[in-house]
Amino acid sequence: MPTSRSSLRYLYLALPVLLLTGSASSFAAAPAGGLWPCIQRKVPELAAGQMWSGPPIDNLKWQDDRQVAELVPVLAAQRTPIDEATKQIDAFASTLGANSKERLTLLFAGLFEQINARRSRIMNGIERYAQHQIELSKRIKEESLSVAKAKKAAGPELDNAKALELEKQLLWDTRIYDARQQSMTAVCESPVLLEQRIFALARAIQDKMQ
Amino acid sequence: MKRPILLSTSLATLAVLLLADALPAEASPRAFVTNERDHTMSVVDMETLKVIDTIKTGRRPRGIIASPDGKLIYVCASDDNRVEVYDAATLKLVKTLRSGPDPELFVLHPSGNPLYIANEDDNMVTVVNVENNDLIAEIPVGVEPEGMGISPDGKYMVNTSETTNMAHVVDTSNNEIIENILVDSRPRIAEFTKDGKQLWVSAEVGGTVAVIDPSNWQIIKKIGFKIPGVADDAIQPVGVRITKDGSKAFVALGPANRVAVVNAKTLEVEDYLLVGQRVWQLGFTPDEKFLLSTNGNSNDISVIDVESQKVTKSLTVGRAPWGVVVVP
Repeated sequence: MPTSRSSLRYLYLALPVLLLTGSASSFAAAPAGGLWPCIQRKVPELAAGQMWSGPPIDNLKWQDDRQVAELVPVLAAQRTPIDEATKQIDAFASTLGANSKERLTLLFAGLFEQINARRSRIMNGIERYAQHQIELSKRIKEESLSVAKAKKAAGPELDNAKALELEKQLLWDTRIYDARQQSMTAVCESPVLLEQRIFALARAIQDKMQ
Repeated sequence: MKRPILLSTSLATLAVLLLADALPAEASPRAFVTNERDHTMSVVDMETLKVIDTIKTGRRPRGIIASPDGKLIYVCASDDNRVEVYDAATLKLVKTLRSGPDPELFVLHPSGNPLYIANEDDNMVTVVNVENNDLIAEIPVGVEPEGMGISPDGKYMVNTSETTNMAHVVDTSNNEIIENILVDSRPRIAEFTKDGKQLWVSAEVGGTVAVIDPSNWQIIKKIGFKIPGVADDAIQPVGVRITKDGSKAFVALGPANRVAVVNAKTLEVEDYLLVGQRVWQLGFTPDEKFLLSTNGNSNDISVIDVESQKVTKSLTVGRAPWGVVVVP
């Protein structure tokens, strides 16, 4: 079983990378619509109004505010725990003067833009992941037919070896397919985690705007 | 002859004092919240607004209601195909009741018995005697039955069916359907006003709430919702609660993360309150000073001050909070 375990570990480690960077060359291009494999309803883009009831954020140039521009990637990064991010938001708010609402709005605008963009990339990655699974399942079907055919025709030593080789490939592909299928729930949770993050950050910012 | 009177007065005072001492301090109201993904129920003290206990329930707890006296809590354990009954004071499981498959929402007759349960998987409403667990009836309704409401006089039970897009009105005296009302897509909740003069039905995909006149079962108005900066398809009405005096209604709008405040007299929307993510069900405190919302994706409940129409606090509970009920 060490092979199976290590392959599983590889898949789990590779998952975020696959979702974010999987290129069109590594997976066949996904046809428009119909590929979304998750139980969660597909919402391609979040709306700022879902996350907060503050001022509109359209066309705000948050990158022009140096302090905001430095803070956004830190708070947007999932490695920053929400509690820590909230502390940093509190600290930032405590430095603000009369224009605190405007600058807190800029902070939200930056976070929303970054997290929403990351979420969209992940959602595209999920569809590529689903496409890859469809292709793999087709291959498994073909391989299983080939194995059956090879076994039926088995006689000479050479044919047996061929059947064994085909069977090995079939088992390996099935194992990969199953492992990836088991990861689907976790994969589908990725956009949800980002939605939770932006909502929690928006709530922390709005608390400071009261 | 005065001494015995004095003595008896003192003894009476002592008895009162002792009795007062023995009685528990008046308990504050408690909210019970089902956590669909944790298979638990959070218990919240409404004075301190703290989670005071988390009870393990059957799998996938969703619908939750209280007996009319507030002493029993009924929970739909959807994946265990049963209704669980808890003592609201001791928090112990008292008994389980038959439910039919995949119970999601249910309603008690105003007298406290029987219990009407929507069975999403087999297009039935199961009617159960809560005293002895007897099956009273199985009423065939539309596809994917969901919301359950009952008129304050107990004469009519209303079930919504998600796929058929109807509210089915059942005469509780013979458990026969007497009316089918076509509403907008995926109706979720049916809620009567306290005076029984209106029935409100939310439609999750349709994005509306139909207000129906029970004297002729005609739709008086369909209330729509518009939130600046939020796409229309993210506005998905689910939970509905109306104050006893019929002045205000609150509608949970799902992934719009808002609760709409509706003037229940004019049927106009007055405000949208940002609560938590995927707001699902609502529950008043017994005095109706506060309304709680369950927010399935942010794993919390929000406390809304009914009079000021402000969200005063959010409180983390378990994963995917689904239903809520508050008892005295």
